[in-house]
Formats: sequence, structure tokens, C-alpha cells
Amino acid sequence: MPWYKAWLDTRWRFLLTLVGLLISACGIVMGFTTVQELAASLPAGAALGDESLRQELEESMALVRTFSGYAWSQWFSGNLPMLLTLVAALLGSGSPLVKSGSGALFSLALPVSRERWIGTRAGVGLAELFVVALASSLAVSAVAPLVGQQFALVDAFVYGGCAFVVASLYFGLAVFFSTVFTDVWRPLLITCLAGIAIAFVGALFPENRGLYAAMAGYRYFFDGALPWAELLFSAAAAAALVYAAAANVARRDF
Amino acid sequence: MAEELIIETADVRKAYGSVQALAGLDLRVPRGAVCGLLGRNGAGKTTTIKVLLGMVRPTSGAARVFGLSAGDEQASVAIRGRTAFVSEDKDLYGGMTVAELIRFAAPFYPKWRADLASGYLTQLELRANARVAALSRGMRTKLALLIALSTGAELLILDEPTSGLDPAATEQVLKILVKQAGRDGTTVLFSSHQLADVEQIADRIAIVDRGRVVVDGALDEVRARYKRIQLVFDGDAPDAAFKTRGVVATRKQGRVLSVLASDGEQGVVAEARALKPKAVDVLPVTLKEVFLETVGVEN
Repeated sequence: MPWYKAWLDTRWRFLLTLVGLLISACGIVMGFTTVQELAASLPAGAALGDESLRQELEESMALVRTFSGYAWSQWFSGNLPMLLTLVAALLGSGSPLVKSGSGALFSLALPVSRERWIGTRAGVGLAELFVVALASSLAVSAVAPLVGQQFALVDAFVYGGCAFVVASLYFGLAVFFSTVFTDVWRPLLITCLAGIAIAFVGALFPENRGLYAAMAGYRYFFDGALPWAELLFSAAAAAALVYAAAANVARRDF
Repeated sequence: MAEELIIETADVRKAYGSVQALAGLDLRVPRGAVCGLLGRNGAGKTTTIKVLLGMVRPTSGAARVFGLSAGDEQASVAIRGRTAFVSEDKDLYGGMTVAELIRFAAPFYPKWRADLASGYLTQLELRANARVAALSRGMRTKLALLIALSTGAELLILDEPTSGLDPAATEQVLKILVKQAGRDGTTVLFSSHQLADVEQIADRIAIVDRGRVVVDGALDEVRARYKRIQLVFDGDAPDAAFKTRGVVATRKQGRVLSVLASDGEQGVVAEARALKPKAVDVLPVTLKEVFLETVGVEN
């Protein structure tokens, strides 16, 4: 069945990125004690020439003094958005119907519509992206007791969910470009460049706005509010991109 | 009663930019026929097959399989549910094993014949646990044919089915095809460069040249229809332009004027006598001669 082919095509990428993100998340949690010791060793009001630098350092130190602040600043708003963008690009790249030498004609000769091939591939990829986002977020709650801390499962779920929904936009981009190019690398590269561009554009918005802030759960951390506008935009854009990819494949000759 | 057509195309045209791959293709394949699709490289054979399977959308014209429009996406899915296809490059899923690929393909076809699949696995000497990517081209061809033959499809479309096979394997595959077509009444459309293969198993042929069908019909009928009329003169043969319908090619070589006629020999012989030749011979032609003359290649 098409889902099995999609799983075979992406399983190694999925498993490697899942393991990579789990190790990264757990590594950050385990580093909490060391960071605490470092923070304690720094003299209060350390003399720094630059006032803005001093302020920034103090804000960072204030964040990492609590485990929730540390986990959010280092994982949920630090590594997770960047890594999940890369994972989304990896899982979305490579169309089942375009790449030559990968059985594309065999797939096209089966009694399955092109839209179903693309839709199934997108569905399987999104499910894998969801598992990577959620598992690496919930790992923070699971490993926190090892450093004598607690992290609410609900919070981990919300951060993972926000990261997943915004990452689905990058996934949609990769799926779309995979129906334009015949190789895996160009969609991957273009999606990563789009991710970097969106992060730069995000810097033009207020600190708690934009896709990057939404992916990091910025407003949820500070105000307990969800970035609905950004989440809805991401989900709609992802759906539109997958639809455009299916339409692109439907009108194509093979 | 008119014979039921499984494949019917009318004035199908397909252009890739400035290249005209199909230029008004008319093809008819009745139910139960084994039809060989012949043509030079780039004649339009593969494009024809892809149009029938809905992989390529024609620029204009109509292509119908089982009476369904091949250009319509939903109808095309229904067509592929009743059709098995083997592509020219035998492009299969390299990451799977032979057994996995067979298991993968089976659920797509409601009439899948597990008994045939297991029988052909042994007969074609395929190892179930071998990775598809590690198979030779010949073995991949056998695997693609195994899957196609096990689908229980009413129509088999095979693009160069014997390419990459050694003579023994070619013979084996051709026998299997004939057996299956005879037993189940499966309609077969296969393209080939191997005229001997076509002569061995086809009961119909369609010769495609520059995107059009130039010869179409039952193989015996084509053989009966096409004749070579050889005129021998005392001196150099004259330049002659025959007006009789069905003259495919005329060639002059010294004292001999050779005419290939596609519509019986009587008209040409009558016209030829007016040239006062020393001798007139009517000779049978081989499929190779018909092919080479109709596609404009000097024999």
C-alpha cells in the first residue's frame, strides 16, 4: 500500500532524526546541573563594559536559574526550532513519483491516483515529524527527574505541538519543491534557506511575534497564551503547499 | 458482430515543446489479441504506452482503454486496476526484497494470483530474499514480468519485455506470455525491437513511425497483403512512378525494379506490364522487410 512505500522511503531519515533529537534533548537536560554551578560561580553584577550586553547576560542568567526557564531557553526556543526545521526539510524532500530510478514508473502503473501518492507521502511524513517533535519534547519531562527536576507534561506537549505545527510549513515547502526538482538535495537546501530567511524576517517583528517565536512557544512561556494566528497560518500554508504539490504532479507528464 | 476493442486511440497527438512525439496515432487492439508494437527508437512506442496508462496526457485526440478515457485521472486509475505494466527500464523499488515487492504489489489487484506468483518465482529462478537493487537487469525483467503476470489483469502492456534477457530466458518468457494469453484470454500489447520475438508470439502488429501507425493488422493478414513485385528488364530499369494504390516503396537497382505493395499484387503487376519488363516475379516478404520499408530504412 502507498503508506508502506512512504514509510520505507523515509524510515531511516525518521529514525536517525528521532534518535538525534532525543539525544540532544536529553543532553540539554543533563547539562542543567553544570549550568547551575557555572551560574552560581559568576559574581552578581559582573563588571561588563557594554550595558546592553550586561543586561542580556542577566536576562539569560535569570532564565537558566529555574529548570523550566533553562529547558525553554536551551531546548524549546534554542535547539528544537532549528533542528525541527531541518528534520521537516529532510522528511519532506524526495517525491515518490519524481525521482528517476526509484521505481517511479512502477508506482505510476499501480491503480493509485497521483494525488493519493502525494497525499499519503505527506501524511506519513507529517506523522513522523509529529512523533519527532513530541517525543523530543516529552523527553525533557521524562529525563528531568534524573537531575532532580520536574517539567510538566502539558507544557512539553504544548511546546512540541507549536514546534510541530510551524515545522509543518517547512515540511510543506519541501514536499512542494520535491515535485519541482527530481533530486532530494535541492528541495532540502531551498527549504533550509527558507527557514533561515523566515528566521531573519522574524527578527523584524516584535520579540514575541513571528513564526520563529511561535515555533519556540515564546508567548506560552511568558504569558501562557498560544500563538493562534501563527499556528493557523502555518497549518493553512502547509496544507496549501501539499495541495499545490499534488496539483503539480497531477498535470505532469512522466 | 464487431470485435470488442480493448485499446482504441483516435488521432492522438503529443508534443514535447517543438518535438512531435505522437502525430495522429490511430491504434486498435481487440480483446484477446497479442499485439506487437514495432518502431524505430523515438518512433513514439513508449509515449503511446504512457498515454494508454495515463502517465502522459495527450495534447489532442482520444485514447480509450476498456472504453474508458485514459486522459481522465479517475478513469485512468480504473484502467490501471485492470492492466499490468512492465516498463522499459524495469524500474522497481530497489530497497525491497523480491518477496517484499511481490507482497507489496498483491493488495493493489483484487484478482491477484498468488499461485501464479509462487509458481513463476520457482520457474524464473528468482530468489525471494534477494534485494531488488542487487538483481541483474535480466533478473529485474523477470521479476517485473512475474508481478505483471500475477496481477490477474485483463491487459498486459509490456515495453521491451525481453530486453536484457539471454536467448534462453527470452524463449522462456515468450512461452509464458503465450501460455497465459491463450489460457486466460489476456490481451497483450508489447513493444519490441526484436522482430523474431514479435513473429513468434504476436497475432497482430502495429508499426509506428514518426508518431503514427503506418501498418496495423493481423500478422497473417499483413504477410498476405504485402508482396514484393520484382521486375527484370533487358537494360537499366526505368524510373517509374506507380499510380496503383498501396505501393509502399519502389527501388531501382541496375536491371531490377523492386516494388513493395501493401494492397495485393494484382494492380501493381498490371501496371508493371505496361513497362514491358523481361520478367515479373511476385515474392513473399518477411516482417523485417515490411518493417524496414514502411519506416523508410534501406534494406
